[in-house]
Amino acid sequence: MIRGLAGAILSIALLALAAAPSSGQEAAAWFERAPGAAGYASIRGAAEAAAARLRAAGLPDGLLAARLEEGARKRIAPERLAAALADEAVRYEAIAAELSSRGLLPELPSEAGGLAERAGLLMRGGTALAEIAAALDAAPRGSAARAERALSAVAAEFSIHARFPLAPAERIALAAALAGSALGEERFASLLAVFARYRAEGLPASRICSLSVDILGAGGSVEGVERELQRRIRRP
Amino acid sequence: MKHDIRRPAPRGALLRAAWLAAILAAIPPALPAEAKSSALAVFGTESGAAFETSAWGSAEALGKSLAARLSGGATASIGLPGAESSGEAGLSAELSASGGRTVALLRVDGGIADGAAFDAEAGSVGTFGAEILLTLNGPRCSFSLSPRLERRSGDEGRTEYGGGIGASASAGGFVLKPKADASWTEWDDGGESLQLLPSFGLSWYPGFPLSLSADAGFRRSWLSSGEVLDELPCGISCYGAAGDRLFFSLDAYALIDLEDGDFSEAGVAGELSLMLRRLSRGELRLPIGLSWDSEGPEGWDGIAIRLGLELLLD
Repeated sequence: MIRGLAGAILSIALLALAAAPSSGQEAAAWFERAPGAAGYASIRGAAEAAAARLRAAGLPDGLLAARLEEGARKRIAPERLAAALADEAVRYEAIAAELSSRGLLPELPSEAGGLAERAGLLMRGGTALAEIAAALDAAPRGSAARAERALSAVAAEFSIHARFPLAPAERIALAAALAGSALGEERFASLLAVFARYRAEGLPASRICSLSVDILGAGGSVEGVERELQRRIRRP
Repeated sequence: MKHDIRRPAPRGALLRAAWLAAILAAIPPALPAEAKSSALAVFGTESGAAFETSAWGSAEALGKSLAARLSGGATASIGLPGAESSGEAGLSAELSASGGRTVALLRVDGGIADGAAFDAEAGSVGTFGAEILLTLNGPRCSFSLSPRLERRSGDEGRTEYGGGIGASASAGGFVLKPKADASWTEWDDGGESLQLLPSFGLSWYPGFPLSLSADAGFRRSWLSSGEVLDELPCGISCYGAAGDRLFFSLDAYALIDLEDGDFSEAGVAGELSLMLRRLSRGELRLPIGLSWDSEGPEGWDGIAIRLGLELLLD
């Protein structure tokens, strides 16, 4: 139940990411302007160092300014916030590296920040970088929206895993199968309902996952997955 | 189709088959497989109280383009004194070949039943069926063709030759499923009938853990006696999950006689299933079901409650 709720909250948060963070030295500016910043002066050096790493990776440091603001609002202890910022910087660097190595990191920092923020939110929820990498590799090449499609696939896989837990290898395979499938992105979410339908019928999530991977990977549709699953519950 | 009859319990071979299947179902499979065994207490206002045990299992061997699947199982319902008993067992084998977007599947299945599981007035009933299913899959739509042969023994024995043609197409979160089915039936008592059934189905897979399906059709039957029957079969089903441990389903169906506007068959069944424990290769569930079935305003009808344990293995 709690996992499901967390998944729902994260899904809503992902949908709410309409505005990408802006570029510039926003972390430093936060310490100058924010009302609660004085209480975090002791971690300013660490925060600005983390922000510099993001900028070097081609990402806006506004991503960290947002975490600073969130931490201050929640009155997180400075040491804990500094550790969280360091973790966040490592995550964003890794995401930027994955995007960059495939030529998918937008030059515009605000666009790059939007992608990184989506990916970062998924990783904070427990998504492994390997899932994102597999989805990026599987998404059709030559599409300007390749990275967005890959992240949509990972988000759909995440929402399935949040309710019907899957093994790490299954998560990677499902994210890649969705990203590389013939489905439109708007249909990714339908697979959650298919999982619910056949879990209710008693099929294990791993079986639903493996069939989905096989069929979507072969260019099949959600109804193709449904038809194969229907065979599995048919009684003579 | 259930009938209100009282018969001696077929506690012999079918019950042994059910227990054997339950034991086999508990053996961890080496191939991609599922198994389900259950023990349920059932109380029906018409059928009385009974203990129902069942086991179904399946395994498949998958190749690059060929796949074979074998499934089978048995159910035995042992009625308490004064209540009805029934049993059934079945076996199904499938062989499928796929190439590109085309899948060809041959399915052969057979079964036996005794008691009220089929038509009790017919005594023991045997069934056999063979079907070929040809499917052309696309990313947004698919087409299928399925000739079939079905044979049923017993007092209402018959042989049916039929076939269906269908399509499915996605539109947003919906899947549209137009279909047409035709069959020719030869009854063992000499009668014959021809049936045509165009139908339309609709499934909805939204972005949350719930699915809805509905279908309705128009069935016209020409009987060798000269009589023509027009009927409207329809159904709706809903499946979903609340969290990762609670599952639910709701099914309703009706067969409406268009001549008098009354239904000749109808039923509603709901089930809640709570996962009690996750096992290393399966899970243990507590299903609670409530159903109502009827054979029309002047026929049999009754409510049944089911409660027990289900062991699902994979």
